[in-house]
Amino acid sequence: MFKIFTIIKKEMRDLVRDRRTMFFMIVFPAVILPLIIGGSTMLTTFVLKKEMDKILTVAIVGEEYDIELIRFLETQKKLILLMDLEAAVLQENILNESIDAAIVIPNSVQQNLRSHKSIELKLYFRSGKGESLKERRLNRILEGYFSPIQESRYLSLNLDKEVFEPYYITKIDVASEQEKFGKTIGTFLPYMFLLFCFSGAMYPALDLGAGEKERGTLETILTSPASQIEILTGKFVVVSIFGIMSVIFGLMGMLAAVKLNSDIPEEIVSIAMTILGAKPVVLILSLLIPIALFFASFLLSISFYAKTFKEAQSIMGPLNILIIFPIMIGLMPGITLNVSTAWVPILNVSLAMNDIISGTLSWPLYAEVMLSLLFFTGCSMWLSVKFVSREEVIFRG
Amino acid sequence: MIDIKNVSKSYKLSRKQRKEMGSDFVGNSVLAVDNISFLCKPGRIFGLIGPNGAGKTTMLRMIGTMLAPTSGIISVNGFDTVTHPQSVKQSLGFLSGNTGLYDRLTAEEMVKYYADLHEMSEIDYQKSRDRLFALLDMEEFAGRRIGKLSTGMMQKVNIARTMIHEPEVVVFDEPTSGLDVMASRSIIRLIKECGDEGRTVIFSSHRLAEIQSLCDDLAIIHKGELYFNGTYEEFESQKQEATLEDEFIRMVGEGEHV
Repeated sequence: MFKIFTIIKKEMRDLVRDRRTMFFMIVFPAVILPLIIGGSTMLTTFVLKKEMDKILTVAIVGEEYDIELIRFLETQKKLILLMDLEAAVLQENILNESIDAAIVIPNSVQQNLRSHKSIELKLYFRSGKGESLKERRLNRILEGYFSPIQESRYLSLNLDKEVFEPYYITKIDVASEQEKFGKTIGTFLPYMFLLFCFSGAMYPALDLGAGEKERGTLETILTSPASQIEILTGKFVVVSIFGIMSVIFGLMGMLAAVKLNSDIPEEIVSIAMTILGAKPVVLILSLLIPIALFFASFLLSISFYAKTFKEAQSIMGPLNILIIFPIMIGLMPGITLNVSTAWVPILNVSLAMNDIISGTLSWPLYAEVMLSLLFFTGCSMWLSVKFVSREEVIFRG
Repeated sequence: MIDIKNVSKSYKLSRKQRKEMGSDFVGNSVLAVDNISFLCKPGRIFGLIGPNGAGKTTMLRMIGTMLAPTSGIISVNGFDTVTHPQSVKQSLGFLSGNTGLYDRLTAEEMVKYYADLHEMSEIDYQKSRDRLFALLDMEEFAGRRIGKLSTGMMQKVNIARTMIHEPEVVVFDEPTSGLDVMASRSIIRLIKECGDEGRTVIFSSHRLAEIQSLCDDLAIIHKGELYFNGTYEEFESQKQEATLEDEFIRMVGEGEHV
């Protein structure tokens, strides 16, 4: 036991001094990722605000047919009206971006207004990235003009509005705010946590297996009185700790990002704080410990098998996709945590985390997930011990 | 003491390795060490020589418990390397050209790590550490990271790591390969001291002059087989050529025609 502790102490000291490992364990989850999330939120808000503040140039054809509408449009902010364009050149002007949109008013406006008929307004716009916002803005403006007209028609005809609305639905969502929010971000967070755990464990595993083989330090330690099982156990523990620490730093980074981002509404911050509270965090970590051990044993086996650091890296790279696959299955509609899915490693963690975040976790299923994880971790550790004890693996190359 | 009795070691070859051996190769394995026996006694330096691929490193790795013999028995200080590897390693110091060091640890941390793995008491460690650091002139760079040290300094750290627990048996596998004259000299001096202190020393090298100046006993292996085993005096009296080098070439050359 003392030798295992000595190995753990040394490996921790050694890895903490490795910049690459520290980057993937601390800087990436705790700093870079929250920066990306915070940055993208700020960027989205900024782009939306910019689009909403943009002055729209709108050509009007047939302005003489509805003077009231023109007066109304002229009172709108951030709107410039062009009255001198012909209908035939509207499309061309929108395509070459000299105007944003165009409204064509028919000559039958006044007659249709009097006879309570519909008026066909033609709205020219260009659909595509960011352009639908312009259309929505113009629609809202026109709605503002025609809504009172609609109301006055009901009044003049002595009609109740409900005559035209035979039913309406009042939605009563029984899900709590945490559940609603949790189900949305609950799909994203497990993905991030599992990825942090995997990438946080990957570099130490590379360094402590293939790296040691390549540098000749594995041969050195094999001559020490520590047995292969003790050496492997020490490395297992360290790689697992690094995987778990990556998730903890990721959690801290996300908490900081949520707290410091002023663009996130207060009620969402409050729900996020509940989600990332003590109980869910403890439950998430309880799932991450066995999955980190599972990743550690799996990654160390590959690392010891590889001849060189580069070979180990080239095997582990595509494994990221293998990890993503069960997580993606968890995102599919209808896939929930049940007695069957609780036995599938990675998928079960992803689904259980989703339920923890939403506050809908079933304890018997949680126990089943734990049982499954312990079983698969035990199997993978046993396999890697067998694997690493083989001479041809240790001295391969 | 190291007692080697009828030891053989064969490696199973993968399909790819069999292909690389060429169409003449028959079978699934290659014999690296073939029925070798010798005895290394305390207080004597045993030299193991042979050309590249002779089986020296395989033999020494078996003594160091890193590899298990396919047949035969190796005992170190009375402990079988297969059944009692931990007891063997407790009394063994192993230094080879392949044994690397941790770049991110300091020289002091590296040596302490091995002392801890040998479960040395703090008093014993301090005593042994002070002696070795003074002997190898290491105090100056004790606090520097190994990655920043010169090759010679690194080898000194490696020696200190090997000797910190004052092993009764020491294995040196080509310890001077790649080193300059100064660094090589400090290792040679240490090997000599190990012998004088009554330790069992087995030493392999390509530098035959080092073997000649150090060894009390000698074994020559080639293609996994033992070509000579005896004292250096016996070798001197039996040799047909004037120098060790010429005699070695003659023996190995003859072997090539067998």
